[in-house]
Amino acid sequence: MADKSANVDDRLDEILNRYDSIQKPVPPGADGYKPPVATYYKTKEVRSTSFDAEKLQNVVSEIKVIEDGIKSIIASRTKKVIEEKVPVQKQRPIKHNAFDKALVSLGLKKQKTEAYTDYEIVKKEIPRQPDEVLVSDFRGMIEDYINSLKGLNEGLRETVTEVDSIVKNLTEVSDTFTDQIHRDRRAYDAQIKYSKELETQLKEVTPIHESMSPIHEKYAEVEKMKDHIEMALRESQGMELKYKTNIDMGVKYQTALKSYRTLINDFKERGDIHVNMVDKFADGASHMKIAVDNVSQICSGVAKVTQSMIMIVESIDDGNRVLGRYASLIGDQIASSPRWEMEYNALQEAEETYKKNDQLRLEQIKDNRQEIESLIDNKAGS
Amino acid sequence: MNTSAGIREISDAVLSIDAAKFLSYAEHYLKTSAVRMPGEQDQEKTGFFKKSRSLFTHKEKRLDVCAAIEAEGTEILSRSALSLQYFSGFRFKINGHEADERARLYQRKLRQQQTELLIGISDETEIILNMIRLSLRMRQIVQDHSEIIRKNTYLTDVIGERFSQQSVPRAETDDETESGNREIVKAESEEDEERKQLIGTFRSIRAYEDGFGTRLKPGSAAPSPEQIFAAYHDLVQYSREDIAQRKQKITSEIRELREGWKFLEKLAVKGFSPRMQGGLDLLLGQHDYRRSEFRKYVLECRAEVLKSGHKPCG
Repeated sequence: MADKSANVDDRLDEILNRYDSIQKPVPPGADGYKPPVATYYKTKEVRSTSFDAEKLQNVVSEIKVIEDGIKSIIASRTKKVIEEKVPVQKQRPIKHNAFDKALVSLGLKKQKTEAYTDYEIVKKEIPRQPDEVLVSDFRGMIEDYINSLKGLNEGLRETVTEVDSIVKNLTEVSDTFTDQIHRDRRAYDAQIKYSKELETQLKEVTPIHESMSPIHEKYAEVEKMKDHIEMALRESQGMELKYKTNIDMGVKYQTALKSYRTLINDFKERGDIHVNMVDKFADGASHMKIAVDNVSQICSGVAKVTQSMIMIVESIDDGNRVLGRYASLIGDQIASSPRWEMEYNALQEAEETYKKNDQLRLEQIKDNRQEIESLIDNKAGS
Repeated sequence: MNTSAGIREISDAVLSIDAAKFLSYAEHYLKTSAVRMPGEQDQEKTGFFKKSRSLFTHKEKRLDVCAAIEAEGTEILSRSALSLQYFSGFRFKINGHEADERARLYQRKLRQQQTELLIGISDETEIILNMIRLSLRMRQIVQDHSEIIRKNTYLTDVIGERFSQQSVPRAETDDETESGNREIVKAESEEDEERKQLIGTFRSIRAYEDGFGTRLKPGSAAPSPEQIFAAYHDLVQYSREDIAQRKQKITSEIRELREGWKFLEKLAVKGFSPRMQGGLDLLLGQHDYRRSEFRKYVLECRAEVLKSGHKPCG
């Protein structure tokens, strides 16, 4: 390809050189027509253009690869819903003639039914092919994905908040247990003190009671007192044990609550990690969405640029053709022949077309440039 | 006060003390508390709504059982309180046998036995009631939380599953996007900012996943609901064992209370007869043993508290 274009370039140069070396005649019947001075033809930039275009081509094919990759991802992750007409066998009452109808309505004849084929529209999900999808579908896909993930995450976020309130609630409950244990301990201490007092009293009363004669006038009173102290002591010791069990149970429950709270807290932390991860993930996915958007925009931008390149090349071809014919006509020195007249008219027409195309071309290139510039501006601005 | 009427009243009060229902309800409550929880876990997996309804009915049933326990326990407490009151205000006078020293001695001893048994029965009942109340309180806490925990586990697992599905292909997409981006950036350098953002996010996702990866996988390292409720189950188990012991205590105490009362009634009505002596001595011997055990236990508890470093205050 490079060779071929080099040949074309050489030929063009040769033609131009030949044209330049010939003295320009005053064209008859023309008001000072001058062939366009195509200085850029001489600057040999045409050679390097093909090289740049090829580089550009690499970018285009690179983008194409990405595009295809994205398309196949979209195709594999999404389904196409199609409507299908499915034949169904159905029964319907047969249409009777007037006489039979009367018989049927009187109940003398049985209504007959007939089978017929009806069609039902069935919606069906079928896999998509990569060439059926657009890169821009990816945006929707990512959006759906982010939305479902965000929905889940909102649910999780709520439960995490609730779990957090559980943790707080458990701290409160644990605190009330602590308070209770402290209260019970104080009460236990007081009870022990009281029991000990009673024990001392009993120690004092018992020998008196034992040494007393049952016929002593105060015997009954002392006995009653001893009984009372004993009962009070038994009651007090019973209270001691109740406090003791309460303390033991309280400590056990508090330990259980603490381990329960630790686990719940672990649950909360795990939930937090998930929520944060989803947030990060959603961020990543929305950046991804922008990137994909860019890819599709760039793909179309590159396509336009390539289009312009093609037009430019085509224009160059056109120009070459016109110039070539000029040159050959002049070279043949048939300027004064009637054929010249004819050829000249044709040339003028060609020139008009060329000019018109040139204009169009310039506009096209300008448009493209503006488009690319605005694309870049948008990118930079966003 | 009319002596025989007094005896009948005491007799009614003492003999009406019955802990059978109370103890069987208490045992039933703890048994269902211990067994129910894992069963509920299994049910949860099958259906969200069915299970919550069945939980509710279980809860109601359990509250009924608890109300019954409360009622029975209070009944025992008030009956023994009444009996105690009768005993403290009642002076036994034996019909025409007042001079009988043995009758008087046995009467005193039996009265003491009755009083102490009544106090013992009340104490055990109160302790059991307390245990049940604590267990119910803990149970309600756990119950109130279980729904949220379940929801949380479910959502965490779903999201975790998504991550684990994502993480293998994601690593590839990352690189692809990065390299893809680089190509694009060559064409349009204004993309730089976005590219940095995208790569930055992926990097932070990866760093986050590296840091917390094990905790993001579904079910891994997460405490299972069984584990969470394990502490509660241990408590229930402990309460069951403890209550089983107390049950035996109360049962024998009530039995001896009745036996003692019968002797006391006979002594009061018919006076002492040598035929009673064997049974009486055996019964009072049992009670003496209980008393000494009780005292030993009281002292042990005091020593234990002192040893545990708890300074008595005041």
